[in-house]
Amino acid sequence: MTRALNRLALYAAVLAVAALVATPMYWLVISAFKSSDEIFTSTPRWLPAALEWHNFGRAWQGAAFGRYFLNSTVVALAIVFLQLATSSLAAYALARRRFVGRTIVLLAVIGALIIPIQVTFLANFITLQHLGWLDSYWALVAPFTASAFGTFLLRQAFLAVPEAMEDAARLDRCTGLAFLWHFLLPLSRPTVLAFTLVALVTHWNDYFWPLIVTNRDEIRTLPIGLAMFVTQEVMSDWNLLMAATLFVAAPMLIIFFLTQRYFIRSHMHAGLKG
Amino acid sequence: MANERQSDGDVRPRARAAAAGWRRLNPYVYLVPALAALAVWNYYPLIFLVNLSFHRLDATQPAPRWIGLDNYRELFAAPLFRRVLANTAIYTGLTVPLSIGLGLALALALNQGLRGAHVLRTLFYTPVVLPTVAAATVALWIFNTNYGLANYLLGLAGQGPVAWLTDSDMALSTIIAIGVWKTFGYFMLVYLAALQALPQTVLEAARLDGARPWDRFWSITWPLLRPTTWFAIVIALILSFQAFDFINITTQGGPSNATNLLVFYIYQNGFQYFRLGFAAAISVVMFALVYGLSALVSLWFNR
Amino acid sequence: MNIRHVLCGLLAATALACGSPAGAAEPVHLSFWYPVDLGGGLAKVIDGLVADFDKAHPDIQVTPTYTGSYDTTLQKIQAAKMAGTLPDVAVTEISSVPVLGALGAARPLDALIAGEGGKKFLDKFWPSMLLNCVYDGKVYGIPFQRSTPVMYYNKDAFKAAGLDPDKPPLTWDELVADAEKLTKRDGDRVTQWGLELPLEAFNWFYYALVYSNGGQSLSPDGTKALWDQPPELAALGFWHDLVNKYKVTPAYTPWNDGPQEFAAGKVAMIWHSTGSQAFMRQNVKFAWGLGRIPKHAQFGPPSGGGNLMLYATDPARQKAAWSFIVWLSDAKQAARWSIASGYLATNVASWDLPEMKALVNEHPEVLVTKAQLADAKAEPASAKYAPARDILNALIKDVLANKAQLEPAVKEAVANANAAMAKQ
Repeated sequence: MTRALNRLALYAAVLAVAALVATPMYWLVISAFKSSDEIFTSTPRWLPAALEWHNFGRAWQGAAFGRYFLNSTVVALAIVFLQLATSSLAAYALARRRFVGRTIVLLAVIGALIIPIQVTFLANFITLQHLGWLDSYWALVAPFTASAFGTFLLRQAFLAVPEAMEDAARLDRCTGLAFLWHFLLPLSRPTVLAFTLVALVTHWNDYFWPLIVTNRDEIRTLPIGLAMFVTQEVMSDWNLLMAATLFVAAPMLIIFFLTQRYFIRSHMHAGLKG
Repeated sequence: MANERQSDGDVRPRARAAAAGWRRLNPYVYLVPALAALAVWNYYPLIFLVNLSFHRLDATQPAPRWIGLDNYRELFAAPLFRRVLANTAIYTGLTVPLSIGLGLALALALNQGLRGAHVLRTLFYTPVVLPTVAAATVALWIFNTNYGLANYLLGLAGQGPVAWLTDSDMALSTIIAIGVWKTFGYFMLVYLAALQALPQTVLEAARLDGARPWDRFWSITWPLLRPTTWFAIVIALILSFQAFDFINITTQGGPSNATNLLVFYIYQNGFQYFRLGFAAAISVVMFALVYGLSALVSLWFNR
Repeated sequence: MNIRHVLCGLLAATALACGSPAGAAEPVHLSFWYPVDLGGGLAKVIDGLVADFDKAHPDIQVTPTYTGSYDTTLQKIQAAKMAGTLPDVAVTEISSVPVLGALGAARPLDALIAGEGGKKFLDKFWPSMLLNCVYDGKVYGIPFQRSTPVMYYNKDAFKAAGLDPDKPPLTWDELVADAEKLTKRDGDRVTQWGLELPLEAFNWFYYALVYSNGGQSLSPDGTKALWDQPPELAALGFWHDLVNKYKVTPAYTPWNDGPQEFAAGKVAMIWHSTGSQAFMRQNVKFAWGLGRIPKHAQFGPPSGGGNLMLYATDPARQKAAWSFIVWLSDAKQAARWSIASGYLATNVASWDLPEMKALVNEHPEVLVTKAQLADAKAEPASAKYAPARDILNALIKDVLANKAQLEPAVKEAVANANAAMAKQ
């Protein structure tokens, strides 16, 4: 009997947390559909009187969101591609080769895991200034060319492929890069997908770094565009702001909902000792 | 098949030596792209920052000039720095345990085989996937003093409105709440994965022995989760930098420096006052603290 | 394809890329950065102005970019100076003039002004606006979106409290008396504040109080904070009393919340920018009026808003950018911008144009804003003022919230500010 009660209490507690998490998101969505009168009231309603779809249209026109969307896509894809390339090469060397200094390199990769952009941004800004790359796509992509996280994840995945397979492949004259491409990567597809998704979302959502290195409207990414829109509209049009927030957040949310398995998977490897 | 001749071993010695040499070299070659990038964008900045911190570089001094420890002297004497350190200590000291603790608690709960666990798991992880800008903007709206949901709910409960983001006593707590909301789902997943990988036999044995759930957790589960907790703490320290995004959009370090954290302080000095040498000194202090803390945590967990 | 074809192709491509020979005039492309510190919709007005300029000047194409708040825009310009990617023209808050002049980012305009008639050109603008356009004896800024503080007041609330709705308070004593009558309480909670002085990053209303009391806030050479001098101390003390002694003002009102609260009837009198008139006209449903910022020793509202500054270094671009600046400052454009935004028309002649006269007819309260221009004083500014500004901001918040004692806190703040300004 107490067990059932305990379970009920547990469930209630979990639902309470769920309510705390879900309410802001619910509020975001319905605020986007409200008319201005429903925003400036001391008794907000839980359901808008009517769905003001044109809020989205007005918000879209409030800034060059189409351009920002394009920029975010280009930058995120470029970063993910570069990270996959550099990480798989490095992971291959770390997982399937013995060489002098392998431990040091591995430690260096792991060490870089805890050097985030918020520590390096000042130096990277000056580096980019010397290169003349500020305020360009290069600036948005360059610092993220390699990923310690990706290298580490892929190394773990490659380690799981048996030596025997590599020996067999060598007999078929399939070594090195060919082996990486034809065997290791396909066999590690779940991990590769997991990493791709996590990296995509992470860099789509980047705010801090693009804020530092971009000025021109032409290369602004969505988070920066939204932030600009916020400073512009903060006095009045909260419904438009919420609408804009929604279409900035939507792509990643949709990708997440469709591919949850892979996000979860990325934690399987990372969480355990390794 | 092409080149079958070579697999016979019927190959000229020089070519074979060259192939062997290439094979010896190629791990390094494969490592070059990643390591070069990590060196330039992750490791070199640390050295660069230390060097820059000994120079003066600002709007009126466009070429760096050596000033030795002056930036550090100024920094440690600045009352604002002490305030910023305190704020950062409070922020980190609260978000790390709260987000990890909440994540662990939910992982334990969801691991009990509750109905709808999948849906709940997705729900709890969603804030992690939301852009920080989006979370900050929604927070600005919900915590709006006059028309926000939070004060409306407080009003329903008979309480007066709270200036969540504009009262210097409340603002930091609000930012902490946003930080925890945004990240706990990540730790929930990490712990869920770890819990599901635990050896069930030990836990079964304990349950059969009649041990109470609370004791079972502390004496068996928790120690087994140590590696995961270690990992979580280090990640939480890194995630705590996200606070910059929230602060930059909601409070800009205010009111009255109540939400001025180290990472924001660096940005403020580097990009608002344009004192890059001074900002570099603050960066050095910040990364010394973060790595020092990570090292301490790692030592603790691996003793 | 042999090597000769490739070379020919490359040569052809290079020739094309180098552009057509002189004579086929390519329009000069100018970049124009602007902040808007008020509610949205003004971006469209800027776009309209730019489009008309482009039509009237087919040899110049201007690309406007919204760059966030005043502070964000300043940061972007400072970063752009480092990166070598400065815009050609930008609008920045008036206190940034010395900062950008000292940085070497903005160009002095005296030679270009001489080409437009020198003093005759400058006489087009209101003298009080020109005070914040100068650095190191040279003109760096041209007024564009300028404002002064004004007092918006709720005429219906005045009537309800037994006050004359056409007589807003003109002195500190009247202000306190009226505010006390206008503050309504429901038990412990205040349902209507008598007065609100919103606080934003630039400490505008602190200066308003200080100037009204005959003080200066910043030494004329821009190196010392004077917040501990008697008139300045008394001004902050008065603000503190409004909150804590007379209890007619809340301790902190964020800048952006002010107009919303006024429109919602939560406050009867509020100081805000002339630029907020557009918001008020759109959202306030009751009878409201504009009053001057009350005086104590004198009338002295601080100037505010943004100036146009020139950053282009190439002579051809400079000429083009300057013609854009001159066009924007023309009576007609200044009037258009003012009517759409609520900022003050920077060109004196604008007020004689039929569209401005129509505005005055429809909204006679606008004349109050014009009257304040005569007494407006410069906003404190110097090349090294930035950290002092933030120290002052924190000081005001702490003193008003009673988190610090007035005199010791001010002394400490002055010491910190002077040290910070000397440091840079």
